[in-house]
Amino acid sequence: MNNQLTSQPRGKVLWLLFYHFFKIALFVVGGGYAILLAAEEIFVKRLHWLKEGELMDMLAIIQTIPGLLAGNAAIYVGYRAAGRIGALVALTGVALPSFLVITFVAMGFSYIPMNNGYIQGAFVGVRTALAGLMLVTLIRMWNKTVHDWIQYLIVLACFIGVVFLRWNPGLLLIGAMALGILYCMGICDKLPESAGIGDGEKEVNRK
Amino acid sequence: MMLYLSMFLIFVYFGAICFGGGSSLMPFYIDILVEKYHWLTLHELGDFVAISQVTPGPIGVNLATFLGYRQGGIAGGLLCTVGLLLPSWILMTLGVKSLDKWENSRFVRSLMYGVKPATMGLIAAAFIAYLEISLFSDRIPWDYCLEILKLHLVPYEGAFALRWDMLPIFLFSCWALYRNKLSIMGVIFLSAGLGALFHAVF
Repeated sequence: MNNQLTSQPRGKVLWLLFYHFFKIALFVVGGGYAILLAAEEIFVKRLHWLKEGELMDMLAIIQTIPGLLAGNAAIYVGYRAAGRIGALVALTGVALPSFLVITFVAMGFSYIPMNNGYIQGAFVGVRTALAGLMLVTLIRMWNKTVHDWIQYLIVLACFIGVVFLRWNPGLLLIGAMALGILYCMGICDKLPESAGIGDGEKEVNRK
Repeated sequence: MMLYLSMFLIFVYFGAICFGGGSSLMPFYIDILVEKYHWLTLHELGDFVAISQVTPGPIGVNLATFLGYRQGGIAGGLLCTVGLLLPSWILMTLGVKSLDKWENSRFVRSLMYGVKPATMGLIAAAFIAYLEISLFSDRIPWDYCLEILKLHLVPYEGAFALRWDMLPIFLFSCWALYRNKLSIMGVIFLSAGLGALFHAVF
């Protein structure tokens, strides 16, 4: 544990955790990765609660644990600062602004005149942009995730399974996990390079 | 009461299978919330995702609150948000001490070997679902495509068509995002404006 932390009373640590994560989540638009960068700015560079680069090193690991990137980052920082309760406080801080803002937005949502042609046009435009965003995400992720023919087959099987056969995506995901374990720990004894979870992502993110 | 319990449990399930951030949940939202339980239409899901992207905070939390509110008011929004975050809080606090071992564990690396491409395939499927409510006017008629492939040349009678006015928006947003010319928020607002404008013109 860090010096800056042990010298402070626990109540103050919890309050700072809540305050900073609340502020980040209230003002940072753009989702998980933007929030992670803002958290690093405050907790690593300003408060020195974590070591330089620690949060970014954790990124690869955080991504292998189920959950939202921002949520997992908040849990990690909170846990390092004040244990299990700290994790809960940080998580509450990061989720509360969204909850409040979105509840207000959702209350107002039903007043939007959805029959209006311009508004329909605007929403179709936005959905089109989101389709573009998904395509770009896929292209960006491709080189980091798919390395050999078995992984090609998994991509193809999940795609065909959902689009044409209407299989349950959850079962497909579990099947892929089982296949990964069977293949990497059973059939081929040596782990292929591609199974690494960092895969140079850290270098990219450092820049 | 049962409704709230099932909402909570559905989002606990989402939280437990959410590998690699909120966007990997999209295929599950489509499969479970749209197709199985009919909470909302695919169009509405698309609108909610767009609003979640341009409001502050984690997109996954925004979306969970939105979906929960839509289904069960303020309490619903709260339950879905808590449900989504609960599994990661439990798993992270259990595992955070041994995270260094976790990274190099053979088991985890083997698991991710399968999970990563599966996520790719599932997001690609969600991408198709999105195309069908944006660039295309209806679901892609796969049966008809199959007939054509079998050389049964029958004229097509259905609602499927390409929306030509959306093609420039699609190509522009792909280009701008891939080349990092604009932020996601900028692209979304611009596309909303262009969509409304094209509606006025065409």
